[in-house]
Amino acid sequence: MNSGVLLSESETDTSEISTRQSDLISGDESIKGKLEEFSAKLNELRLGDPNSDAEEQENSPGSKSQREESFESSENVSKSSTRPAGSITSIPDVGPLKTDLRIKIRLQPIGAVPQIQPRVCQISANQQFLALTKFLCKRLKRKHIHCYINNAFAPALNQNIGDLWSQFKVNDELIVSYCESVAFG
Amino acid sequence: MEELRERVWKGSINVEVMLSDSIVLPNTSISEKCHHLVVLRESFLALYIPAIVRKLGQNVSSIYEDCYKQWWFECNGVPVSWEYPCGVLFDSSCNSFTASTDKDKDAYHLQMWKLHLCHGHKYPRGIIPLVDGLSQIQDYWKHQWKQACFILNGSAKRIMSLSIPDFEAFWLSILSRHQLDYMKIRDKMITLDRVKCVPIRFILPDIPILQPTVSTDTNKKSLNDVIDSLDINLQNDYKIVIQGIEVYSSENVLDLYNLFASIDGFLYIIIKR
Repeated sequence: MNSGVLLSESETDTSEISTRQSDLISGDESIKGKLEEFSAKLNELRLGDPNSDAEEQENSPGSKSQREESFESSENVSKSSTRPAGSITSIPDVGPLKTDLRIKIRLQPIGAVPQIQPRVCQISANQQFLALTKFLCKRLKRKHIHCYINNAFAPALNQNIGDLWSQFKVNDELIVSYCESVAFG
Repeated sequence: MEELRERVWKGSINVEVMLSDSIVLPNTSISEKCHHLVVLRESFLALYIPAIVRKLGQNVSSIYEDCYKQWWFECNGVPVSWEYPCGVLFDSSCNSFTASTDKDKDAYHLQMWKLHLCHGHKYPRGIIPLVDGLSQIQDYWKHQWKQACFILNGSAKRIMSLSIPDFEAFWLSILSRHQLDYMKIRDKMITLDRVKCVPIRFILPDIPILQPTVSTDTNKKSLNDVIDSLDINLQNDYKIVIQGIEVYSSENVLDLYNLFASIDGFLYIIIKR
Protein backbone atom coordinates (compact mmCIF):
# COMPACT_ATOMS: atom_id res chain seq x y z
CA MET A 1 0.00 0.00 0.00
CA ASN A 2 1.46 3.35 -0.99
CA SER A 3 1.60 6.14 1.42
CA GLY A 4 0.49 9.60 0.40
CA VAL A 5 -2.50 8.48 -1.57
CA LEU A 6 -3.72 11.91 -2.47
CA LEU A 7 -1.63 14.95 -3.19
CA SER A 8 -2.89 18.26 -4.37
CA GLU A 9 -1.59 19.65 -7.62
CA SER A 10 -0.12 22.59 -5.78
CA GLU A 11 1.78 20.23 -3.56
CA THR A 12 3.25 18.52 -6.56
CA ASP A 13 4.04 21.67 -8.49
CA THR A 14 7.74 21.32 -9.04
CA SER A 15 8.30 23.82 -11.83
CA GLU A 16 11.12 25.57 -9.97
CA ILE A 17 12.72 22.28 -9.12
CA SER A 18 12.44 21.19 -12.74
CA THR A 19 14.23 24.36 -13.82
CA ARG A 20 17.01 23.66 -11.37
CA GLN A 21 17.24 20.11 -12.65
CA SER A 22 17.66 21.31 -16.22
CA ASP A 23 20.35 23.68 -15.02
CA LEU A 24 22.09 20.72 -13.47
CA ILE A 25 22.12 18.85 -16.74
CA SER A 26 23.37 21.73 -18.85
CA GLY A 27 25.74 23.36 -16.35
CA ASP A 28 29.52 23.32 -16.60
CA GLU A 29 30.12 22.75 -12.92
CA SER A 30 30.33 19.29 -11.45
CA ILE A 31 27.09 17.43 -10.77
CA LYS A 32 28.06 16.95 -7.17
CA GLY A 33 28.41 20.66 -6.59
CA LYS A 34 25.09 21.35 -8.20
CA LEU A 35 23.41 18.69 -6.10
CA GLU A 36 24.74 20.33 -2.97
CA GLU A 37 23.42 23.65 -4.16
CA PHE A 38 20.09 22.05 -4.98
CA SER A 39 19.93 20.46 -1.56
CA ALA A 40 20.68 23.79 0.12
CA LYS A 41 17.91 25.41 -1.91
CA LEU A 42 15.47 22.71 -0.85
CA ASN A 43 16.38 23.33 2.76
CA GLU A 44 15.74 27.04 2.27
CA LEU A 45 12.31 26.26 0.87
CA ARG A 46 11.68 23.87 3.82
CA LEU A 47 10.60 21.18 1.36
CA GLY A 48 12.65 18.66 3.20
CA ASP A 49 11.33 19.68 6.60
CA PRO A 50 9.81 16.62 8.23
CA ASN A 51 7.35 18.78 10.16
CA SER A 52 5.97 20.34 7.02
CA ASP A 53 5.66 16.87 5.48
CA ALA A 54 3.55 15.81 8.38
CA GLU A 55 1.29 18.81 7.91
CA GLU A 56 0.80 17.98 4.25
CA GLN A 57 0.05 14.40 5.02
CA GLU A 58 -2.60 15.44 7.50
CA ASN A 59 -4.66 16.56 4.53
CA SER A 60 -4.04 13.46 2.56
CA PRO A 61 -6.04 10.26 2.88
CA GLY A 62 -2.88 8.42 2.17
CA SER A 63 -1.38 9.37 5.50
CA LYS A 64 -1.10 6.36 7.70
CA SER A 65 -3.73 7.21 10.27
CA GLN A 66 -6.33 8.11 7.70
CA ARG A 67 -5.56 5.16 5.51
CA GLU A 68 -5.97 2.87 8.45
CA GLU A 69 -9.26 4.51 9.27
CA SER A 70 -10.40 4.25 5.67
CA PHE A 71 -9.69 0.60 5.35
CA GLU A 72 -10.53 -0.69 8.76
CA SER A 73 -13.86 -2.40 8.77
CA SER A 74 -16.54 -0.22 10.31
CA GLU A 75 -20.22 -0.36 11.00
CA ASN A 76 -21.22 1.15 7.71
CA VAL A 77 -18.49 0.50 5.23
CA SER A 78 -15.98 -2.27 5.45
CA LYS A 79 -12.94 -2.69 3.38
CA SER A 80 -13.67 -4.77 0.36
CA SER A 81 -11.41 -6.39 -2.09
CA THR A 82 -12.28 -6.30 -5.76
CA ARG A 83 -12.29 -10.06 -5.88
CA PRO A 84 -15.52 -12.02 -5.61
CA ALA A 85 -16.05 -15.35 -3.97
CA GLY A 86 -13.36 -17.89 -3.24
CA SER A 87 -10.23 -15.90 -2.73
CA ILE A 88 -11.53 -12.48 -1.75
CA THR A 89 -9.58 -12.01 1.43
CA SER A 90 -6.48 -13.79 0.28
CA ILE A 91 -5.79 -11.12 -2.30
CA PRO A 92 -3.48 -8.27 -1.37
CA ASP A 93 -4.99 -4.80 -1.69
CA VAL A 94 -2.25 -3.64 -3.98
CA GLY A 95 -2.25 -5.57 -7.18
CA PRO A 96 0.85 -6.02 -9.24
CA LEU A 97 -0.45 -3.59 -11.81
CA LYS A 98 -0.14 0.17 -11.93
CA THR A 99 1.55 0.31 -8.55
CA ASP A 100 3.38 3.54 -9.19
CA LEU A 101 0.86 5.29 -11.37
CA ARG A 102 -0.87 8.33 -9.94
CA ILE A 103 -3.98 9.70 -11.52
CA LYS A 104 -5.75 13.03 -11.29
CA ILE A 105 -9.18 13.40 -9.75
CA ARG A 106 -11.23 16.57 -10.23
CA LEU A 107 -13.61 17.02 -7.33
CA GLN A 108 -16.88 18.84 -8.03
CA PRO A 109 -19.47 19.63 -5.36
CA ILE A 110 -23.19 19.32 -6.07
CA GLY A 111 -25.70 21.47 -4.21
CA ALA A 112 -24.84 23.04 -0.88
CA VAL A 113 -21.87 20.87 -0.06
CA PRO A 114 -18.66 22.96 0.04
CA GLN A 115 -15.90 22.80 -2.55
CA ILE A 116 -12.83 20.98 -1.42
CA GLN A 117 -9.53 22.73 -2.03
CA PRO A 118 -7.59 21.91 -4.10
CA ARG A 119 -10.08 20.91 -6.73
CA VAL A 120 -7.68 18.52 -8.42
CA CYS A 121 -6.00 15.81 -6.40
CA GLN A 122 -3.76 12.91 -7.23
CA ILE A 123 -4.36 9.39 -6.08
CA SER A 124 -2.60 6.11 -6.50
CA ALA A 125 -4.19 4.13 -9.35
CA ASN A 126 -4.34 0.91 -7.37
CA GLN A 127 -6.63 2.35 -4.69
CA GLN A 128 -10.25 1.37 -4.41
CA PHE A 129 -12.95 4.00 -4.82
CA LEU A 130 -13.68 3.55 -1.12
CA ALA A 131 -10.46 5.41 -0.27
CA LEU A 132 -11.67 8.52 -2.08
CA THR A 133 -15.10 8.35 -0.47
CA LYS A 134 -13.57 8.13 2.98
CA PHE A 135 -11.26 11.02 2.18
CA LEU A 136 -14.21 13.18 1.16
CA CYS A 137 -16.18 12.21 4.28
CA LYS A 138 -13.28 13.23 6.47
CA ARG A 139 -12.52 16.48 4.69
CA LEU A 140 -16.18 17.49 4.61
CA LYS A 141 -16.81 16.22 8.15
CA ARG A 142 -19.81 14.24 6.95
CA LYS A 143 -20.80 10.73 7.89
CA HIS A 144 -22.02 9.85 4.39
CA ILE A 145 -21.28 11.27 1.00
CA HIS A 146 -22.62 10.29 -2.44
CA CYS A 147 -20.08 10.25 -5.25
CA TYR A 148 -20.68 10.11 -8.97
CA ILE A 149 -18.43 9.73 -11.98
CA ASN A 150 -19.09 12.17 -14.83
CA ASN A 151 -22.37 13.21 -13.20
CA ALA A 152 -23.80 9.87 -14.28
CA PHE A 153 -23.23 6.87 -12.05
CA ALA A 154 -21.94 5.82 -8.67
CA PRO A 155 -19.19 3.22 -8.95
CA ALA A 156 -18.95 0.32 -6.54
CA LEU A 157 -16.81 1.09 -3.51
CA ASN A 158 -14.49 -1.76 -4.35
CA GLN A 159 -13.80 -0.65 -7.92
CA ASN A 160 -10.25 0.15 -8.82
CA ILE A 161 -9.75 3.88 -9.32
CA GLY A 162 -7.15 3.29 -12.01
CA ASP A 163 -9.67 1.32 -14.08
CA LEU A 164 -12.29 4.03 -13.60
CA TRP A 165 -9.81 6.69 -14.66
CA SER A 166 -8.83 4.71 -17.77
CA GLN A 167 -12.42 4.31 -18.88
CA PHE A 168 -14.04 7.57 -17.86
CA LYS A 169 -11.31 10.20 -17.81
CA VAL A 170 -11.89 13.61 -19.36
CA ASN A 171 -8.68 15.48 -20.25
CA ASP A 172 -6.71 13.00 -18.16
CA GLU A 173 -8.83 13.72 -15.09
CA LEU A 174 -11.47 11.55 -13.48
CA ILE A 175 -14.37 13.85 -12.66
CA VAL A 176 -15.94 12.93 -9.34
CA SER A 177 -19.00 14.85 -8.18
CA TYR A 178 -20.06 14.63 -4.58
CA CYS A 179 -23.11 15.62 -2.58
CA GLU A 180 -24.83 14.89 0.69
CA SER A 181 -27.98 13.38 -0.76
CA VAL A 182 -28.79 11.28 -3.80
CA ALA A 183 -28.24 13.37 -6.92
CA PHE A 184 -28.43 10.87 -9.74
CA GLY A 185 -30.80 8.14 -8.64
CA MET B 1 -28.69 -17.38 -30.75
CA GLU B 2 -31.99 -16.85 -28.94
CA GLU B 3 -31.84 -20.40 -27.61
CA LEU B 4 -28.37 -19.80 -26.25
CA ARG B 5 -29.50 -16.58 -24.57
CA GLU B 6 -32.44 -18.40 -23.06
CA ARG B 7 -30.17 -21.13 -21.70
CA VAL B 8 -27.92 -18.49 -20.15
CA TRP B 9 -30.94 -16.73 -18.64
CA LYS B 10 -32.29 -19.96 -17.18
CA GLY B 11 -28.95 -21.36 -16.06
CA SER B 12 -28.96 -22.46 -12.44
CA ILE B 13 -26.69 -23.73 -9.68
CA ASN B 14 -27.40 -26.25 -6.94
CA VAL B 15 -26.62 -24.68 -3.61
CA GLU B 16 -26.37 -26.13 -0.14
CA VAL B 17 -26.65 -23.49 2.56
CA MET B 18 -25.58 -24.44 6.07
CA LEU B 19 -25.98 -22.22 9.09
CA SER B 20 -22.60 -21.12 10.35
CA ASP B 21 -21.47 -22.85 13.55
CA SER B 22 -21.15 -19.46 15.22
CA ILE B 23 -24.89 -18.74 15.00
CA VAL B 24 -26.57 -22.14 15.08
CA LEU B 25 -28.38 -23.29 18.23
CA PRO B 26 -26.73 -26.18 20.09
CA ASN B 27 -27.97 -29.68 19.31
CA THR B 28 -29.51 -28.67 16.00
CA SER B 29 -29.63 -31.58 13.58
CA ILE B 30 -28.00 -31.27 10.20
CA SER B 31 -31.33 -31.32 8.40
CA GLU B 32 -32.51 -28.36 10.50
CA LYS B 33 -29.48 -26.22 9.83
CA CYS B 34 -29.13 -27.06 6.16
CA HIS B 35 -31.17 -25.88 3.18
CA HIS B 36 -30.88 -26.96 -0.44
CA LEU B 37 -31.99 -24.67 -3.19
CA VAL B 38 -31.46 -23.86 -6.83
CA VAL B 39 -30.23 -20.35 -7.53
CA LEU B 40 -30.24 -18.78 -10.94
CA ARG B 41 -26.86 -17.88 -12.36
CA GLU B 42 -28.25 -14.56 -13.54
CA SER B 43 -29.44 -13.25 -10.21
CA PHE B 44 -27.92 -11.91 -7.02
CA LEU B 45 -27.18 -14.19 -4.10
CA ALA B 46 -28.48 -11.63 -1.62
CA LEU B 47 -31.96 -11.93 -3.14
CA TYR B 48 -32.18 -15.43 -1.68
CA ILE B 49 -31.31 -14.44 1.89
CA PRO B 50 -34.89 -13.75 3.09
CA ALA B 51 -36.14 -17.15 1.91
CA ILE B 52 -33.19 -18.93 3.53
CA VAL B 53 -33.61 -16.98 6.77
CA ARG B 54 -37.31 -17.86 6.84
CA LYS B 55 -36.41 -21.52 6.44
CA LEU B 56 -33.52 -21.71 8.90
CA GLY B 57 -34.14 -18.71 11.14
CA GLN B 58 -35.69 -20.66 14.02
CA ASN B 59 -32.40 -22.43 14.56
CA VAL B 60 -30.34 -19.27 14.79
CA SER B 61 -29.04 -18.31 18.23
CA SER B 62 -28.39 -14.63 17.52
CA ILE B 63 -31.17 -12.06 17.46
CA TYR B 64 -31.87 -10.55 14.07
CA GLU B 65 -34.25 -7.80 13.01
CA ASP B 66 -33.85 -7.81 9.28
CA CYS B 67 -33.68 -10.49 6.59
CA TYR B 68 -30.87 -8.70 4.73
CA LYS B 69 -28.96 -6.64 7.25
CA GLN B 70 -25.94 -8.27 8.90
CA TRP B 71 -26.29 -11.50 6.94
CA TRP B 72 -23.65 -12.77 4.55
CA PHE B 73 -22.42 -15.97 2.95
CA GLU B 74 -19.09 -17.68 3.24
CA CYS B 75 -17.56 -20.33 1.02
CA ASN B 76 -14.78 -22.38 2.61
CA GLY B 77 -14.46 -19.73 5.30
CA VAL B 78 -14.10 -16.87 2.82
CA PRO B 79 -16.82 -14.19 2.63
CA VAL B 80 -18.76 -14.17 -0.63
CA SER B 81 -19.59 -10.80 -2.19
CA TRP B 82 -23.24 -10.17 -2.92
CA GLU B 83 -22.71 -7.60 -5.64
CA TYR B 84 -21.78 -9.97 -8.46
CA PRO B 85 -24.15 -12.34 -10.28
CA CYS B 86 -24.40 -15.81 -8.73
CA GLY B 87 -22.92 -17.52 -11.78
CA VAL B 88 -19.82 -15.33 -11.66
CA LEU B 89 -19.33 -16.03 -7.97
CA PHE B 90 -19.76 -19.75 -8.50
CA ASP B 91 -17.43 -19.95 -11.51
CA SER B 92 -14.70 -17.98 -9.77
CA SER B 93 -14.90 -19.94 -6.53
CA CYS B 94 -15.35 -23.40 -8.05
CA ASN B 95 -11.98 -25.07 -8.38
CA SER B 96 -13.24 -28.22 -10.03
CA PHE B 97 -14.33 -26.69 -13.29
CA THR B 98 -14.12 -29.21 -16.10
CA ALA B 99 -15.52 -29.03 -19.57
CA SER B 100 -16.36 -32.70 -19.63
CA THR B 101 -17.81 -34.29 -22.71
CA ASP B 102 -18.72 -37.51 -20.96
CA LYS B 103 -22.51 -37.14 -20.71
CA ASP B 104 -23.05 -40.45 -18.90
CA LYS B 105 -20.59 -39.48 -16.22
CA ASP B 106 -22.14 -36.02 -15.88
CA ALA B 107 -25.58 -37.54 -15.45
CA TYR B 108 -24.52 -39.03 -12.12
CA HIS B 109 -22.48 -36.07 -11.00
CA LEU B 110 -24.28 -33.38 -9.04
CA GLN B 111 -22.21 -30.28 -8.57
CA MET B 112 -23.11 -28.51 -5.37
CA TRP B 113 -22.02 -25.06 -4.24
CA LYS B 114 -21.59 -25.29 -0.49
CA LEU B 115 -22.14 -22.05 1.36
CA HIS B 116 -22.40 -21.07 4.99
CA LEU B 117 -24.88 -18.43 6.12
CA CYS B 118 -23.39 -16.10 8.71
CA HIS B 119 -24.79 -13.32 10.85
CA GLY B 120 -23.04 -10.71 12.95
CA HIS B 121 -23.04 -7.06 13.93
CA LYS B 122 -19.65 -6.58 12.33
CA TYR B 123 -19.19 -7.50 8.71
CA PRO B 124 -16.05 -9.34 7.74
CA ARG B 125 -13.47 -7.74 5.52
CA GLY B 126 -14.23 -8.08 1.84
CA ILE B 127 -17.96 -7.55 2.14
CA ILE B 128 -19.90 -4.42 1.27
CA PRO B 129 -22.45 -4.17 4.10
CA LEU B 130 -26.00 -4.76 2.97
CA VAL B 131 -27.67 -2.17 5.17
CA ASP B 132 -30.65 -1.21 3.06
CA GLY B 133 -31.95 -4.55 1.83
CA LEU B 134 -33.58 -4.93 -1.54
CA SER B 135 -33.41 -1.25 -2.41
CA GLN B 136 -29.63 -1.28 -1.94
CA ILE B 137 -29.32 -4.23 -4.31
CA GLN B 138 -31.52 -2.47 -6.84
CA ASP B 139 -29.58 0.76 -6.46
CA TYR B 140 -26.27 -1.01 -6.90
CA TRP B 141 -27.55 -2.87 -9.98
CA LYS B 142 -28.90 0.36 -11.49
CA HIS B 143 -25.58 2.17 -11.18
CA GLN B 144 -23.72 -0.81 -12.61
CA TRP B 145 -25.99 -0.63 -15.63
CA LYS B 146 -25.41 3.13 -15.91
CA GLN B 147 -21.70 2.46 -15.88
CA ALA B 148 -22.04 -0.25 -18.53
CA CYS B 149 -24.21 2.05 -20.65
CA PHE B 150 -21.58 4.79 -20.37
CA ILE B 151 -18.89 2.38 -21.55
CA LEU B 152 -21.04 1.09 -24.41
CA ASN B 153 -22.23 4.43 -25.73
CA GLY B 154 -19.82 7.04 -24.41
CA SER B 155 -22.53 8.49 -22.18
CA ALA B 156 -25.30 7.34 -19.88
CA LYS B 157 -27.97 9.24 -21.82
CA ARG B 158 -29.74 6.15 -23.06
CA ILE B 159 -30.30 4.70 -19.64
CA MET B 160 -31.01 8.05 -18.03
CA SER B 161 -33.68 8.74 -20.59
CA LEU B 162 -35.57 5.58 -19.69
CA SER B 163 -38.88 6.34 -18.03
CA ILE B 164 -39.38 5.38 -14.40
CA PRO B 165 -41.92 2.66 -15.34
CA ASP B 166 -39.43 1.26 -17.86
CA PHE B 167 -36.71 1.18 -15.25
CA GLU B 168 -39.00 -0.47 -12.73
CA ALA B 169 -40.01 -3.02 -15.36
CA PHE B 170 -36.33 -3.63 -16.09
CA TRP B 171 -35.67 -4.48 -12.43
CA LEU B 172 -38.88 -6.48 -12.09
CA SER B 173 -37.95 -8.53 -15.14
CA ILE B 174 -34.95 -9.79 -13.17
CA LEU B 175 -36.98 -10.51 -10.05
CA SER B 176 -39.84 -12.15 -11.93
CA ARG B 177 -37.59 -13.80 -14.53
CA HIS B 178 -39.25 -12.39 -17.64
CA GLN B 179 -36.52 -12.61 -20.22
CA LEU B 180 -38.49 -10.94 -23.00
CA ASP B 181 -39.19 -7.88 -20.82
CA TYR B 182 -35.55 -7.77 -19.84
CA MET B 183 -34.24 -7.99 -23.40
CA LYS B 184 -36.75 -5.42 -24.62
CA ILE B 185 -35.38 -2.77 -22.28
CA ARG B 186 -31.77 -3.92 -22.57
CA ASP B 187 -31.96 -3.48 -26.33
CA LYS B 188 -32.83 0.18 -25.82
CA MET B 189 -29.36 0.70 -24.42
CA ILE B 190 -27.33 -1.37 -26.82
CA THR B 191 -26.95 -0.89 -30.56
CA LEU B 192 -24.33 -3.44 -31.49
CA ASP B 193 -22.97 -1.70 -34.57
CA ARG B 194 -22.55 1.56 -32.62
CA VAL B 195 -20.88 0.21 -29.52
CA LYS B 196 -17.81 2.28 -28.59
CA CYS B 197 -16.35 0.07 -25.91
CA VAL B 198 -17.33 -3.25 -24.36
CA PRO B 199 -17.97 -3.47 -20.61
CA ILE B 200 -15.80 -6.39 -19.56
CA ARG B 201 -14.48 -7.56 -16.23
CA PHE B 202 -11.72 -10.10 -15.92
CA ILE B 203 -11.50 -12.31 -12.86
CA LEU B 204 -8.04 -13.78 -12.62
CA PRO B 205 -6.28 -15.87 -10.01
CA ASP B 206 -4.44 -13.90 -7.34
CA ILE B 207 -5.07 -10.37 -8.58
CA PRO B 208 -7.99 -7.97 -8.20
CA ILE B 209 -10.70 -7.80 -10.83
CA LEU B 210 -9.62 -5.99 -13.98
CA GLN B 211 -11.94 -3.75 -15.92
CA PRO B 212 -9.98 -2.88 -19.06
CA THR B 213 -11.00 -0.44 -21.74
CA VAL B 214 -11.95 -2.59 -24.72
CA SER B 215 -12.69 -0.37 -27.68
CA THR B 216 -14.41 -1.69 -30.78
CA ASP B 217 -12.18 0.21 -33.20
CA THR B 218 -11.74 -3.03 -35.09
CA ASN B 219 -14.86 -5.09 -35.60
CA LYS B 220 -13.03 -8.36 -35.31
CA LYS B 221 -11.37 -7.84 -31.95
CA SER B 222 -10.95 -11.26 -30.40
CA LEU B 223 -10.79 -12.22 -26.77
CA ASN B 224 -7.17 -13.08 -27.34
CA ASP B 225 -6.45 -9.51 -28.47
CA VAL B 226 -8.01 -8.22 -25.26
CA ILE B 227 -6.08 -10.65 -23.05
CA ASP B 228 -2.85 -9.73 -24.83
CA SER B 229 -3.52 -6.06 -24.11
CA LEU B 230 -3.75 -6.76 -20.38
CA ASP B 231 -0.50 -6.14 -18.59
CA ILE B 232 -0.42 -9.58 -16.98
CA ASN B 233 1.52 -12.78 -17.33
CA LEU B 234 -0.70 -15.81 -17.83
CA GLN B 235 0.40 -19.40 -17.85
CA ASN B 236 -0.10 -21.24 -21.12
CA ASP B 237 -2.56 -23.74 -19.71
CA TYR B 238 -5.25 -21.32 -18.61
CA LYS B 239 -8.95 -21.70 -19.38
CA ILE B 240 -11.38 -18.95 -20.25
CA VAL B 241 -14.78 -19.44 -18.67
CA ILE B 242 -17.84 -17.34 -19.39
CA GLN B 243 -21.22 -18.21 -17.87
CA GLY B 244 -19.80 -21.57 -16.84
CA ILE B 245 -18.77 -22.40 -20.39
CA GLU B 246 -15.19 -22.76 -21.56
CA VAL B 247 -14.74 -20.54 -24.60
CA TYR B 248 -12.01 -20.16 -27.19
CA SER B 249 -9.82 -17.09 -27.06
CA SER B 250 -10.36 -16.59 -30.78
CA GLU B 251 -14.02 -15.66 -30.25
CA ASN B 252 -15.13 -12.14 -31.15
CA VAL B 253 -15.45 -10.12 -27.99
CA LEU B 254 -18.54 -8.19 -29.08
CA ASP B 255 -20.34 -11.41 -30.01
CA LEU B 256 -19.48 -12.83 -26.61
CA TYR B 257 -20.85 -9.73 -24.95
CA ASN B 258 -24.05 -9.93 -26.93
CA LEU B 259 -24.60 -13.54 -25.92
CA PHE B 260 -23.21 -13.77 -22.43
CA ALA B 261 -23.38 -10.35 -20.78
CA SER B 262 -24.68 -10.54 -17.22
CA ILE B 263 -27.69 -8.85 -15.70
CA ASP B 264 -25.60 -5.87 -14.56
CA GLY B 265 -24.51 -5.06 -18.12
CA PHE B 266 -20.97 -6.44 -17.81
CA LEU B 267 -19.40 -9.46 -19.45
CA TYR B 268 -17.50 -11.43 -16.81
CA ILE B 269 -14.56 -13.42 -18.06
CA ILE B 270 -13.02 -15.84 -15.62
CA ILE B 271 -9.50 -17.01 -16.22
CA LYS B 272 -8.80 -20.34 -14.58
CA ARG B 273 -5.61 -22.30 -14.35
